[in-house]
Amino acid sequence: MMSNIVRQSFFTVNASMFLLSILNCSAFAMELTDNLQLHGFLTQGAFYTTDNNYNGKSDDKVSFDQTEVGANIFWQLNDRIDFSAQALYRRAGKVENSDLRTDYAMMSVNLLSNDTSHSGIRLGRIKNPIGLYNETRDVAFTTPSILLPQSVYLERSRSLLLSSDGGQFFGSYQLGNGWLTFKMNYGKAHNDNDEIKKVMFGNLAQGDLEADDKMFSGQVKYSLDNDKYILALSYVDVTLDYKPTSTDILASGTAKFSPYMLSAQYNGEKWGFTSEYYYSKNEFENFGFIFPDSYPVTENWYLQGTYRFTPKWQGIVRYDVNILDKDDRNGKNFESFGLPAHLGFTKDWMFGLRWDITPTVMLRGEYHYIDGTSWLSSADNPDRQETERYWDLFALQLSFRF
Amino acid sequence: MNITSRLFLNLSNNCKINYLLIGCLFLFAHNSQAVSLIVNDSVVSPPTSKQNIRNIFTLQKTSWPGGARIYIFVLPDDNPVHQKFSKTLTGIFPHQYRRIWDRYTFSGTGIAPTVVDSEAEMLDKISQTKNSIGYIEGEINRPDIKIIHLDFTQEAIDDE
Repeated sequence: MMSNIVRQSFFTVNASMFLLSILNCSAFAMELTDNLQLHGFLTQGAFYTTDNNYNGKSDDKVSFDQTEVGANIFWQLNDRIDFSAQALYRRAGKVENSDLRTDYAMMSVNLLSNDTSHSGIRLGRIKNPIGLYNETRDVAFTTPSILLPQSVYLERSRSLLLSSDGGQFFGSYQLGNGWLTFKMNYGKAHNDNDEIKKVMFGNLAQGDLEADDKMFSGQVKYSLDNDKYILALSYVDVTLDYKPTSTDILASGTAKFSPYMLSAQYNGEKWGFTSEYYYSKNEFENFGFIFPDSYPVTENWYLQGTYRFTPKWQGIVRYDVNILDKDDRNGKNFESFGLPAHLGFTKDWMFGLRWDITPTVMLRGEYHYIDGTSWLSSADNPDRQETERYWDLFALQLSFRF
Repeated sequence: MNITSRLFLNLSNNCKINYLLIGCLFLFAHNSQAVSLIVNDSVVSPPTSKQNIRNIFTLQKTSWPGGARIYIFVLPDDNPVHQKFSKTLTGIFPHQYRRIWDRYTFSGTGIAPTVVDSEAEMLDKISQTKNSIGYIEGEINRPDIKIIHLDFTQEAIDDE
């Protein structure tokens, strides 16, 4: 068993190194014509924790169970119509097992475009505009750290909130020295909600929790001075229906999530500051006597500062708070269900360093001092009684892009 | 005055002239080192204000008046000419551009500027691609490429 894991890890690392070495032969000329571009990335992570598991078996050992490989195409058919698609291979501990899927695939129609505004519609599988990072959350080069602030970009709800199959209205208007942008998505969410089910019901639930096809996500953003200052408000509305099995002790209830996210960012020459605040009203109804109706409010936020020492070296510090039920900040309710109280919250101090070796190769490392286990995955930590409240996490990541 | 001293005088005079010459050369070199915006000959109304240039390079404005797509060419992020262009012509840093472009590239919502490896390739691309825009250091004289003279350039350098 152990040797299998070791062998698998070695294989992954070797394969990644091999790919990196063949890909890293200077910058590619990937523009096949002026109207067609190909881009992609390859990311390999390594994780070590003093307790608990993150992205595979990382407790007191090194786990290489995080690989992300993506390739995309963008094609301008004519002056108005674009097609774009991205394939994404992803492995993340036991949460996501070597999954290859269409990350997005859409047609964009540009309806209006002039000096001070543009707008249009998109049809297909479209990334959801939530906060500053959701649309490109799996692309290491675009994220501030190896672990996205888990308070607001929970791994557990990643697959539910990632994209929707439907349509999007988008528009941008020049307003003073800035641009006001809006995006509104409507469509069907993905249905890989085991992590959400486990944190709601533990191992009680036998049936499936499925998102309906009426998910809404939207964002209004004002960016001043070419993204030097960004202020954004995002909103999501999604309902999950529970489909019990014939022997299920749970009834066919519904779980409704409607989070708001407020994002603020400053991007200077050397300093950068980011803060996002997430507030979600949740409704759990009609699951039967064993799970009475409840309406917990989730409240999460983080504060993050970055400093660019040189164009290639950047440091980052973040404090990140996740509270599953704002009326139960210490997790007393979890304790009354026989679960550890620290499942109710997580406070995470993070310190990291990023080295952009070339414009296409990046290496970064970070250290987390963590109090709480609320965002730990159940897949990697099946027995919550074995989790520890205080733990440290070390992570290293190498990423290549073209 | 003997020959030696006359020679010395001549030399020192020459030196003065040389210094002046060198000084002029430096001035000239400094001017020719400025980064200029260039467009393909087909572009009828190129941008002349800083905000318009920013709107194009941050992908907010994606077509020319009349509706034709804008094709953008840039040098690599760590190229000194790109850094000069970013800071002096637009006041946006290369890492800020990269973040903006990546957000489009990896969400499928836009096409990022095409990166060329050298200024020679930049000139080739701009001359061959209709409706294209890029930049170059120094002066060029080619019938198929328009240089855009910007009033605010000197002002931007003075701001530095």
